[in-house]
Amino acid sequence: MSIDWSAVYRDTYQDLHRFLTGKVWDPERAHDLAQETFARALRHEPDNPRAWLFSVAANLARDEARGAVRRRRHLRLLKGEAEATEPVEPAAPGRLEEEEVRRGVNEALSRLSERDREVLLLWSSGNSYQDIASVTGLAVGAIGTTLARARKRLVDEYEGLETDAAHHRG
Amino acid sequence: MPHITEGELHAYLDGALSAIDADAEERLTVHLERCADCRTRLERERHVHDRSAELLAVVWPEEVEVPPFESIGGGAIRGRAEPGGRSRLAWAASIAVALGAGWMGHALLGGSGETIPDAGPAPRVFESRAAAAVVDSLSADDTAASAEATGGARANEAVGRAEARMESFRDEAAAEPAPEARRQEATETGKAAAPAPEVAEETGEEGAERERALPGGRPVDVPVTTTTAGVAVSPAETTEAAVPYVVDARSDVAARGRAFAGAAWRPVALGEATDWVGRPLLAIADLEVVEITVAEVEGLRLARVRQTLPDGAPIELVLERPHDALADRDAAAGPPALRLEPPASAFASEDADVGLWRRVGRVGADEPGVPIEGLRATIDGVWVTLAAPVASDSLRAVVSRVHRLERP
Repeated sequence: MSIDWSAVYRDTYQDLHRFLTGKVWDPERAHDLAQETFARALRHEPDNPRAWLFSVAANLARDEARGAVRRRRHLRLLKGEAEATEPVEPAAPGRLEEEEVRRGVNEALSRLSERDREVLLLWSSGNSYQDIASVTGLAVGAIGTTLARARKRLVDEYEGLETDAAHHRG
Repeated sequence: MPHITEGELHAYLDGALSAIDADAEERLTVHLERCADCRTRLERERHVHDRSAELLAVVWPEEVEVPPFESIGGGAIRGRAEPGGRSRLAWAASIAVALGAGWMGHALLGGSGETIPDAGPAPRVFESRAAAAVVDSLSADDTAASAEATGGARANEAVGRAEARMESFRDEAAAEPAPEARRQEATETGKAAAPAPEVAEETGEEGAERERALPGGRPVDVPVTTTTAGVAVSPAETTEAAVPYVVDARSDVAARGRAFAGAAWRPVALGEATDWVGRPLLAIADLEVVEITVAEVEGLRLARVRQTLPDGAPIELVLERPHDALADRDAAAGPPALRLEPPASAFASEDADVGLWRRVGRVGADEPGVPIEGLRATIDGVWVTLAAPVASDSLRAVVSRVHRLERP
C-alpha cells in the first residue's frame, strides 16, 4: 500500500504536536519529538500511520518526561541558591493569571495515572476511539470509561489546586 | 434498559458511541428521553467534559507552525530516495559517534601519566559559583534546545550545512545500515506495535535501575576561568545548533569502539600535538594538564588532553582532526559553535548491545544529575569527546569551560 506521507504529515503534525506537548509540557521539545517520530515513520512505512505515529510518540514522550521531571527538580535545587539573592521582577498584568492557570492544569494533569493522561491527551489530539484503542491496547468499549475517569480527575484536581491557592492568598 | 454508564455518557458526548456499538446511539437516545436520572447525570458529565476541554486548551498552543515536510529527520526523506536507503548525514553521524565510542573504549585512566612542565597552579574551587555555573549551563541548554527544536528554518540550515560538508564523501558513504542499526529498527517497530509498559513515576524502577547500572558519578565543582600559567587559554564561542541528523547515530558504535580501543596513544608535547591535528587543542581552563597524547585511527588523527578535576578525578578531551575536505568546509562554515549530541529523542528503546556511546547519549546528555562517562560535542567545527566520572550536568557545565590551548 502506497501512503502519501506528505499528506499524512500535513494532516497529523498538529495533532501529534499537541499530544506531545501535553506529554512533555514543552511545545518546543514536542516539535523535536514530532519530527523524530515522523522520521522513524518514513523509515518503517507502517500500514496504519496515525496509530503508529502516536504509539511511537507516546514511547518517546514517556522517556522524555522522565528526564524532564528530573531536570526541573534538579534546577529547583540548584536555583534555590541563586534566587535567594535575585530581585523578582513583577509580572505583566494578565500574564500572571494565565501562567498560574497553565501551571495548575499541568500539575493537575501530572496527578492523573499515566494511562488516564495518555488516553485523555490522545482524544484531545483528535484521535478516534478506535485510534486510541490501537495506540493504548485498551478495548474500544473501555475508552469512554477511561476518559470519564480522566476528565473528572483532571477537573477535581485543578479545582482543588485553585481552592488551595485561594486559601493561601486569603 | 439499565441506566447508562459513565463511559457511555462520555462516548455519547464525544459522538463516539457508534465506535462501541452501531445501535448504541439510538438505544441511549431512547433511554434518555425516558430516564430523568440519566438526563441529570448526562448534564453533570457534560460539565466535566466541557470543563476538562477548557483546561486542556489552556496548556496547548492554539496554532503550531508546522515545519516543512522536507525537514524531517535530517534528510530521512532524501535518504529514502537514495540507493541503500541511508542518508549521508546518518553515515556522517555514525562515523563521528563511532570515533568517540572508540576512544571511550580506551581505558579512561590508561596512559603513561607524564606531566607537562609548567602546567600551572593547582585549580581553585568556588563552590557557590560552581553551582551557578551549572545552572547557567542548563539554562543555556534550554534556550538552545528551544532554538533547535523548531525544526524549521534553523534546523534546515543546519541540515543543509551538514549535508554540504558531506558532499565530498558521497562515494565513500556506507550504503547499508550496520547490523545493529537494522536490529534497532526492528526493535522500534516491535515496540510501536505493542503498548509500552506503564510508567507509574518518573523515578520508576526502570530509571532507578539505569542509574544504579552506571558508574558512580559525583558532582564536580567547576572552577572559574582564569589563565593557566604556562598555557594561554582563549575563549571559544559556544552556541548550540540543531542536530536533527543524530537520529541514526547509534549504528555500529560497538564494533567501531572495539576497533579503536587498541589505538597506540603516544605522549607528545603541546606543539607537536597541535601540528598533528592541525589546530589548537582544547582543554578545560584552569585545570592542570597532566598529559597530551596522539594517535591515528583509520586515517583520522586524534589528540587527547588529560586533566585532573579539583577532586582528583580524571577528565579527558579527545579532539579529532577532520578529514582535509571536511576541514576546508568547516573553515567556511561560519563562527565556532558548540553542539552537544545526541538529544534524548535520538534514543527511544533499550538495547544493551548497542554500546557505550548510546548509553552516554541516552542518559548523559539530557538528564542532569545522572552519572555518566562521556559527552560529545563539536567545538570550533571539530568533534571533541569529553569523559569523566562526574554527573552529566556537571560535565555539560564543564563543556562550557572548554578553551583553546595555545602554544606556549
